[in-house]
Amino acid sequence: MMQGSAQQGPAHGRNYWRSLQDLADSEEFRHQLENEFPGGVDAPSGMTRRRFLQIMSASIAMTSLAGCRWPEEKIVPFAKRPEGVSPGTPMGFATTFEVGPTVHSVVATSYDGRPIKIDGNPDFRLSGGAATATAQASVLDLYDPDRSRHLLNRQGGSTATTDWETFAAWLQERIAAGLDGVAILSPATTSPSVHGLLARAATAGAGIHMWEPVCRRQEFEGVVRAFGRPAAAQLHLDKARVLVDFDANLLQDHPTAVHNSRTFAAGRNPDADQMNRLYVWENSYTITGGMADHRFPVASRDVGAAVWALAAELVLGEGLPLPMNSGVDRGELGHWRGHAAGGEHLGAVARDLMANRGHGFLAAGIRQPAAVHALVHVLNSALGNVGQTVTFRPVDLPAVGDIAGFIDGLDRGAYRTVVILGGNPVKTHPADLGFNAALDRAEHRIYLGSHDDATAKACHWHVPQAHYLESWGDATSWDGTHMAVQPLIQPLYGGKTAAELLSLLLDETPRGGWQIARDTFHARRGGQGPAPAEGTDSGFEKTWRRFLHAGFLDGSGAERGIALALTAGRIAAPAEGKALSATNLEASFAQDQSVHDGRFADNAWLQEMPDFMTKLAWDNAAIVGPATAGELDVKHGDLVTLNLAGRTVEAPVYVLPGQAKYSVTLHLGYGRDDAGRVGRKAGFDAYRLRTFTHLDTADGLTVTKTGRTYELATTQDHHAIDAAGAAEIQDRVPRLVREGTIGDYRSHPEFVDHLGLHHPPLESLWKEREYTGHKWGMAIDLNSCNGCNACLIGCQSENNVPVVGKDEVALGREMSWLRLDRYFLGDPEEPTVTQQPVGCVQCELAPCEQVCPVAATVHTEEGLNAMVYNRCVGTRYCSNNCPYKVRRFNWFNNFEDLSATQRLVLNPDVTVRARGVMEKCTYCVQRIEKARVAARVEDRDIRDGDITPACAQTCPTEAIVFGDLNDPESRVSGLREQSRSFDLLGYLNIKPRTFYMARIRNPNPEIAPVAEHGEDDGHGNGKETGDHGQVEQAHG
Amino acid sequence: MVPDHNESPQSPGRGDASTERFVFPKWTNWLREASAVLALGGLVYAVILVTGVFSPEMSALGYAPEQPVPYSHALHAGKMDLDCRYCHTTVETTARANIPPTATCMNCHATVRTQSESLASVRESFETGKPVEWVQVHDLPDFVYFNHASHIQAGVGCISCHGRVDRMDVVEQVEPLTMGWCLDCHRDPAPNLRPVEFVTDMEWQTAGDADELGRRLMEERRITPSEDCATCHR
Repeated sequence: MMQGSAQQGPAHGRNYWRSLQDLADSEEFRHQLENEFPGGVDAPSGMTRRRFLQIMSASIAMTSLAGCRWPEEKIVPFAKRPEGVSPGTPMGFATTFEVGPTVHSVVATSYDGRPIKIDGNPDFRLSGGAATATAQASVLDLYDPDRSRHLLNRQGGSTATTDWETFAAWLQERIAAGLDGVAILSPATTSPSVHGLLARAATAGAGIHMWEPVCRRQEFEGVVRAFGRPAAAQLHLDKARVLVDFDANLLQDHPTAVHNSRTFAAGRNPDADQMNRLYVWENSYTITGGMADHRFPVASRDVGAAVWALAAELVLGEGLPLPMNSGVDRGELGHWRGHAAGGEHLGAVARDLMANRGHGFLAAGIRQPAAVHALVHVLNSALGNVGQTVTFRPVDLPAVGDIAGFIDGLDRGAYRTVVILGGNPVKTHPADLGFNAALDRAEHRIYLGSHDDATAKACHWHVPQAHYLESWGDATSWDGTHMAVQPLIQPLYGGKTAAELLSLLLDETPRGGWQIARDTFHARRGGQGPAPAEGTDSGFEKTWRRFLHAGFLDGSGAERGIALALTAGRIAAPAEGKALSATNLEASFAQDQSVHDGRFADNAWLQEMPDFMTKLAWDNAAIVGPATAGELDVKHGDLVTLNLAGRTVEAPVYVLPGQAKYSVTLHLGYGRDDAGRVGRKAGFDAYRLRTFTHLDTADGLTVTKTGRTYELATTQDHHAIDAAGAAEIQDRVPRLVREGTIGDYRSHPEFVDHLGLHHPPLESLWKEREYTGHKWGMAIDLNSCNGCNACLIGCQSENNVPVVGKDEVALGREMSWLRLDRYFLGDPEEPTVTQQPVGCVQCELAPCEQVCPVAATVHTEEGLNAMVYNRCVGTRYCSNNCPYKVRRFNWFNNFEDLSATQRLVLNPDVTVRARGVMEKCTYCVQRIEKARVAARVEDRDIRDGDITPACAQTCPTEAIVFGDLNDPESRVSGLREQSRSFDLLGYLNIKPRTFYMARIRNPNPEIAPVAEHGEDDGHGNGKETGDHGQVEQAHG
Repeated sequence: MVPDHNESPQSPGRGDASTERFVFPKWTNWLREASAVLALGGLVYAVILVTGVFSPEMSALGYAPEQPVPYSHALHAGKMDLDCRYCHTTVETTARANIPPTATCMNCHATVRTQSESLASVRESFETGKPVEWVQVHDLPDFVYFNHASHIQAGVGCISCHGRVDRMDVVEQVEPLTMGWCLDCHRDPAPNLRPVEFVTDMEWQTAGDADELGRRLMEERRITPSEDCATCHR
């Protein structure tokens, strides 16, 4: 803080910036500011204007001959229409999407039989209608043109296309003698059917092994160490007043992240009596870190030390009695007291936790060793939080081997036939175990996978895997609820599920997915043997249908969970390694927000989605902090060689503020040279450095410059609102993202207004329109928004927003209607972060409309700023005149090259825009019209809540509220009245309909407040007077 | 007009080398005639274009394609007085007035005219499950989002857009279905409104003044048709 202030001398006593280039006011950033479309607008890409005109003049001649009547179209009704199906009317089906141990309960929208959109299941407690970016983007994978389309048989260097029947016959002959010598390598799954089948396979003699690159093994082990039995910790963040997150990223990397986000946000209402407080220790900025009131950057390996230091402070400093069987040695605690990893404010954190016993919550992340988890459970027990903010659901962990055992079995010759149930282990395996050589030893290798990837190529048989929207199956949510997986469409390419493949191995008459899921459901209800045949047992049929309709079996989960008592043996303290330095860096392996562990590498929506913090699209990078980068003498975009114990990869450097010193974060899942056309060229492969002994962090990383650079496509400086140069940014940003502390807010509820520009009453240059009917508006609460990107993908899916690719993103031509502006505040080593989603704010006096020469953007009676694509001639004047920079121009025919299958994902309710047309957020006008028609059909008025734009629908924290500003009873009107509401660039008098709610932080008064902002910044100080002066001068 | 300076001895600047370049050279004189010809040609072209674009010939008016089954609305909806909604079941609640599935035809034709030659393809469709491919008559551009339900519920009769279907052996487009035509009604819907219970009635006529009834219905049912682009284009 001190350092930043000294360097910049900010006018407001606060110092916001978007990137380090911005902070340094670099030449490059100035260039970005000066250009409306960074990267050059008239760069001829492919076709020159001359050539275009030639073709146009030719096409005029053609159309005048052929344009008399459009082609004849056919209407093809059903021969026999299924009951309840109305052509052209979307239908929703509840199903379940599984990513490792994370289970998303979703509603998939089907339009005339094709899935087009994924939303959260509103009836399921843990999703509450919200879905993550990943879950929403999963529908795109269904139509991936690079999915495997055939069952392949590779023998002796040749590849033959075959079919399931041939494969089944071969396999049954091969295993006729039993499953001895068969190894099954499965990714993590929560499916009770698959678990049941794997258990049967184990009994039949097969070796079962599990490999999930990003797994929760250590978390479960930690519970076992503390409580003596495996259990899934159930979080009740709504009851927590003080939260401490040790590298856990609770709001994103947790199986109940959506629910956590919602309950956490609910606890942050500044108007309630109590507002929760969040402390975070982590090495790289996560969205949870972004929401923290106090964040302490610390290398991932040192997080354990921080937990011990906090324990020491609690027990020795604050006299917290340790319960029975805590397994913690008081003497050992003394050693950790005041450890540097905890930082100087541990005492204050400890006192805060002590003052909120029973209302506190501590969590450790999945990258932390089991002992750290155990200690966190001990602290939660000692503080009385167990049973309150955290409860447990006992689980039975399947008895399966790990990947090392799998390799060992192959090396010993115990396994001759290998069945891999997905997960692409040839790419994701630990680098030190000799996986590939071992796999080659197997006589028969079978791979079930969605793509013909590296693992498929290393196997003899490749069975295409069904997408979850094509599958019958089941899953278990984190709270134990039995979940339904049901198909919306027949498998496009004859894909099979893991359960179906296992059934082929085990059952005399192989069962289909439907039968397997039904049998498991029957057994779960206490039934014996196979489920009753369809239509024979009406009682069963009724529950089964209710299960499918809801997507889950109501009441089958442990909503409350139970409290467990400690039975811990001695908890080992973390070993302290050699001190980190520029020559002994920490490599910290992290799952990626976009591609997860690499499985979504071919998902273009996720690839183009900018990382919430780095704003990096289409790549990963070696993320280092500014000070570390200085010591290493590397810059953003330098290509460096990463060397970890002799293993090397080349990676570009990304200098990220707030990154712990000497810690380098490497996101997994990129560098997939075996991926399809989307993922093939994206990023570098961090798996090549990751060993089985150090799956999470490893010391000893060195970085050497190659002397070359690499272009990283980031969106961070695109569409910068500020046109008057970097110096002005310092002046303006505090008005764009307004924030304060709970103290400010309580003592001066009006402080948000005072953060704005003081100006005389504004007069309009235009005759203002009266809005007497509906007056749509939107509130975005910066206090809840954590920047998770769910809205962005929701919008993309709903509104047919195209993907443009890395090169175009680098030129600033990304098409996303909604962008998340991320602002840093303070010291580059320990900044705070604020996220701000910005879409079209639907100005009442829209500057874009005033400059459009062809009236392609006009106002509706309800105040929407509508885009008329057919009128648009592509002058781009509107974008030039838009102060929010939210208009997007189609430089290309982005949908031209899509195959018929890829087009199936498009929403037929929204026009697909062609080249040369401007587009932007419409407030989901198709949903407004839909609600209007529904109200007309029911002969009533539109009610508050009838219309939910895609972004608001999916927001896990309910930060976005849409409604009628003319209805005094609507939620959005209520928010507009609150003193926290403010307009973005309100002083331009363009009357935006979208408004924001200021962010309120809740810093610990004992620790220096994160954002200083009190009397100095309030009313009547020198700066504000200066603003008055400027404005008056301008008016004079 | 190009001044004929070349011939005039009084022409200012003549012989002055510095102004010479401002004077049109003599050979350009033919441009006068050429521009006149061009202007005339352009006018003719524009007339052809405008009349062409706006002529009924160029719109789909009168489009009456041959259908795979010679289904007669005149017989079914006219002579036998079937309600439109017997077949077009979703018209009141969804955007589209669905074309009925073959099963709807077979409700009657399983017992009526079971041997008819012209119904052969219907029977075949019912047996095989292969749909009958009807030719779309009223075809709006893909960027227009028309909704049947909202119009029906507002009391716009079928007849207003589709004409006397009950007198058509072959369905024919009788209204231009252009944007201007849509807007005419959106600006003054009263003449086309009727009580909702009569929307499918082809013979319905108000006893009183249609305009007055329309205006009363607009008030009662809060009908305020929008002229915003975003209502139909999005």
